[in-house]
Amino acid sequence: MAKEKNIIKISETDTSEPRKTEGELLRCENIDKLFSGVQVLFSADFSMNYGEVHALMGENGAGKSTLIKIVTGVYHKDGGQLFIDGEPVEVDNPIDARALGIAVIYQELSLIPDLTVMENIYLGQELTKGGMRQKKRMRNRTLDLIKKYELNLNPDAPVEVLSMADRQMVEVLKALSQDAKLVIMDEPTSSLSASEAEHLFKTIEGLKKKGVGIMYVTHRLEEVYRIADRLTVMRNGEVVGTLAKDEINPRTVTTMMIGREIKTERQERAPRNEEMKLEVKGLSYGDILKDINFTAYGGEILGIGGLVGSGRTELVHCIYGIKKPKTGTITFNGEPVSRSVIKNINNGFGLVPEDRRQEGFNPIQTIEKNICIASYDVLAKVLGLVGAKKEREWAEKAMEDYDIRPRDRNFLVENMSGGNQQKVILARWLARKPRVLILDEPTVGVDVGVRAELYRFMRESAAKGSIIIMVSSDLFELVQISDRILVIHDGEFFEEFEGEKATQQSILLASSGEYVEEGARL
Amino acid sequence: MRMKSQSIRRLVAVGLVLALVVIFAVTTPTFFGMRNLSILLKDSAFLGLIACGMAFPMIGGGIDLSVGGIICATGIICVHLSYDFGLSGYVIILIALVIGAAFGLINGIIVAKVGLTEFVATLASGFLFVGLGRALVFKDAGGRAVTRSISSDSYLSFGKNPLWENGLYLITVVWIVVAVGLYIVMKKTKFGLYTYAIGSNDKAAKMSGVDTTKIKILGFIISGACAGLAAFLVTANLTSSPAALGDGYEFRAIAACVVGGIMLGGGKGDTINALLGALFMTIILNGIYKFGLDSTYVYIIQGLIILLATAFDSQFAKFAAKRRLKEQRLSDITPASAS
Amino acid sequence: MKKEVLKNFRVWIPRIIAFGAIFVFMAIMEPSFFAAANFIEIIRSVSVYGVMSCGMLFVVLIGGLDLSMGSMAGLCASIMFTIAQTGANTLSATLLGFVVALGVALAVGWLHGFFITTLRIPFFVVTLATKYILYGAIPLITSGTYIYVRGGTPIDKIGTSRIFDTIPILVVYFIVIALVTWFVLNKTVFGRRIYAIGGNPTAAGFVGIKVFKNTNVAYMLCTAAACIGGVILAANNQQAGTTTGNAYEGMVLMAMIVGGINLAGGQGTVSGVVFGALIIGLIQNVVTFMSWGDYLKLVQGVIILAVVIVSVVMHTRTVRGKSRKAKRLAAEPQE
Repeated sequence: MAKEKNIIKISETDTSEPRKTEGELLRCENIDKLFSGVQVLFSADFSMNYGEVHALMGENGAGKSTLIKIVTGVYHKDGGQLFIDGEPVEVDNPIDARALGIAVIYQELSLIPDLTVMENIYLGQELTKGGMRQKKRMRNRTLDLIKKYELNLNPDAPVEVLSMADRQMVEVLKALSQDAKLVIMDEPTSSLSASEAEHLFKTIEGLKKKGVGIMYVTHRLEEVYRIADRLTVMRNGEVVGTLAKDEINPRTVTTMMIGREIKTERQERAPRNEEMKLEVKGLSYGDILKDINFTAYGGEILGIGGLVGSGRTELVHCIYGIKKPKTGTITFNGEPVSRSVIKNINNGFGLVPEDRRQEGFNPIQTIEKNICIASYDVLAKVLGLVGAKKEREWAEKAMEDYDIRPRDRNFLVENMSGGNQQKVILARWLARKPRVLILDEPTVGVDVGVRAELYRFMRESAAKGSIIIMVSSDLFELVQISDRILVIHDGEFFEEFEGEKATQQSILLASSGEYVEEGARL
Repeated sequence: MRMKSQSIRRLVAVGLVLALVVIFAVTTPTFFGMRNLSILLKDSAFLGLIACGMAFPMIGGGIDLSVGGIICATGIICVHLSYDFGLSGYVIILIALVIGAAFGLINGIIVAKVGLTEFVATLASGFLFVGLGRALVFKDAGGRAVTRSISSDSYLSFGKNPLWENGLYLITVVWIVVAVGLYIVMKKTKFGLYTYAIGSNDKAAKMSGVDTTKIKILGFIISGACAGLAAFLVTANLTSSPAALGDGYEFRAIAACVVGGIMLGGGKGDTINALLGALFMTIILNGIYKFGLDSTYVYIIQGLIILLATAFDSQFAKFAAKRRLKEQRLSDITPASAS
Repeated sequence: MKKEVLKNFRVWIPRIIAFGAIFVFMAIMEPSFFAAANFIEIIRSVSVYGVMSCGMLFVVLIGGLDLSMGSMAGLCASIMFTIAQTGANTLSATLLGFVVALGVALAVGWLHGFFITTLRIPFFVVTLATKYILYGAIPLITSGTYIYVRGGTPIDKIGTSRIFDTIPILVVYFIVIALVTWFVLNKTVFGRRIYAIGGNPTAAGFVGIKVFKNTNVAYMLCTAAACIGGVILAANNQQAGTTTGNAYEGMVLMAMIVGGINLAGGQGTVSGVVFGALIIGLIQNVVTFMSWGDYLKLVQGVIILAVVIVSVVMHTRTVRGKSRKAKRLAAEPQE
């Protein structure tokens, strides 16, 4: 404690009191949150100590980010109480949170590549004198910070020359320079390589020793073992429970995350059409994918699971032709698949991309044009001339078949609801009766009603003999819809599941790089 | 420690200027004559001023295509102030600064508040400013446009003659003072740092609490004020304000910035780059005249310079990114020692 | 169907009002404005703007702009006139001249595309640079003077013929080019691709559209239109040289803005371009007719800035309103 006092305080505020390094840091009691009448958090309890790494896990939509946003003042809670150092506090906005010593490191980094480490740390809170920045003073303080937390950073290096891990360090330092005692990290390793992640863990350990509390949100079980002191699991807006370090094991955690496995009526699968097959052999892409092998058959829905960043999207992009694989072959019915997107489309391929706003539709065009854009090989046969009537009929039929609303072919897509936008993109391909249809996270931001419709369309298309490949992070969807599921872990094929073996828990375990023990039961 | 790509780029600019100097020193013996140098520095001053101002919107990730229009309008207003109202040159120079800044403010508001893209906004406002300049030309009794010469001594003292024989012009002094001032602003103040920040990553700057709207507007104000100042000095040098004043200056200033190493897209470079670029452009343009080439080549060479410089930068950026990636991979394997 | 007619009509209301306002204003101020000779004059200038604007439309639709149009027009006219003159103004020499000029235009258009797509340099920098290069190249072709053509030569016929001895032939070129542009944009796959790229280039790439290739073609069509515009302008004036087409890109840009073409790309119609060309031609005529020549540029500047600002502000408002409407419509049961 005495040593702590000697270190120069970085922030201008709070220089009088010595920092606490023990005891309870944060407590959330009975936090409720409603969004337009729908309850998304049910009396959630959560607590953190100084010098503790407390991991938070849960599937998408479990309520993790809502809880974080309440703690950081982005959302207002509808019930319950927050305590910092045992004192009840109100966090009404992000500024309050910052003043209380709560800092968040976001997934997308908020650093300026052209500025130096020191400039980034002080961005928005420069020390000035007479209008001039006091470079020397800020540099010295940065050096002190770097020394205090035993980091390996050069304060004068521009951020753009740093590796992703080092950039994350800078983010952390930025938070600490504002006297943060609680640092919230939201999936910090999603863009890091294995050795970079290890680097980050070392830093986290260093922070822990200095008494900083770290709330660590992740999807990766192996990271939880590696660094967490405690783990809280959330599901459907509720805190399921908190495990101490020695209680954490894959089976318990996944059971808590998924809850009781819901046995759903699996839809009748169409007979596998062995005639139609897509074979991927030895495919690798950059540093992301390594030696992927599998075969997809007509009539089945092949699910691809794995964590975000595991290389799923790159895999389907390579198949579709928009990314060029480094090595490996992809064949469709024995013929090598072209590396030209347009040739593949004309050959019956289609892709519903992950980010529909960026990659999917043209917002300022009508529904009709957005549906027809991929089908001019059919709609304009002679000299590239478009038949307006053909186009209209094509679009109207698709809108009718796939129930797109509003049923006005001249409506602009940017003004539609998310679900209907997704239907437009799906209809674009289904209208062509595709032979290979790839869907990347097809139901993100789509409401439940439309979701069911999308599944039905996929199933119908498969029943007609098409190959359907669906990438998804939604375990329930993956298990319910897919006939067969491949799980990718860190760019490598990990395990394949079919029939009874395909449970949410087994997929979740495989996504984290854990094998399901033979014969083990829940 | 490997050299930073920014320093390499600046060395390239310095090399270009030196190469030109060598070429002209060898081919024209009078190049290093005091008279020639003083004229060269005078001519660089106009372009240099505009380029130093333009550097702010450009480093902030934008562009200002309206500076030609600002010069056109401010120049004619300055002459009016002297001719019609008999104001002293020392007063007019301040007014020119204010008018230029006001035009810059208009640009800033339509970009940062209304939300137009930089090039559309400043292209459109440039038309407006040129129109304003044309509307204000002097007319004789028959309504025909005429030019009026400036007769005020205080006005002319800024540009007509050097301070001493074959010595510096006051214009050059003003330029150097402004360039140094802007360099300090850019490197030492919060505003300067934030300009880099918004040019480099607008979103992240906003997240860190930078008032990006204010910074953008300020950048345009500086650009406009410099153009206004340049307009005053140009008219002082020409002793009148021709109708086509400022035509093509925005282009020449962009060329100077780009050659000097201020990258399109923002975040990189400073006023020294603008200064180097202005020197380069002036020497090469003077050289064209000196070699007895037709003035038409001026246009062609300016255009080619801009194309070559931007093409070089785009390839250079690719190269730098590749090199960086390689270094990061290396440091991933062998952790660098602490600084 | 009825709805569509109504929608189109809604677009035309402000246009008709604009025309009406100008005509009423002139009827009060200067009735001699309505003389047939004046209208022929208007048609002549509108035709040149119109031809060039049709070319620019392609580039604006993919989200770019070509600031070199005026210089391109002047250069192409100079090339054609020089070759025709060297060949004693025979028909074949004239045709050869036109082909060479068009070839140069297409080459420059391709270069624009190359710099913009492959080298990723902002289009306004590239085309601003070529504006000056091309402008500087004109005196090299013409040896610094103007090239005149006499009456009766093929070029003269291209530029000054009249239909029924009254209507300038230039308007025929305009109508033909506008129809061709309309056809290409609305009836061909290429047209669909242009709109797709302008609206969202990434998404266009995801449905297999070759974005770079189509962008290059759009820039080539634009320079080709500049070439044709320059040739008919010079032929009509019976002279070509450095001032031919000078600053026309400003007029073309203004036609785009007034015609409601979204400068961000993806939205705009040929009817908008035709209307825009008509309005700017009218305004120019009105201003010179009232001998307000000094204020022409000011008026134009005010119009450009005002229309651009209003359209941006309006757009952000309508988007908000429309998405509310969509939510309501999606909630309503169909049938």
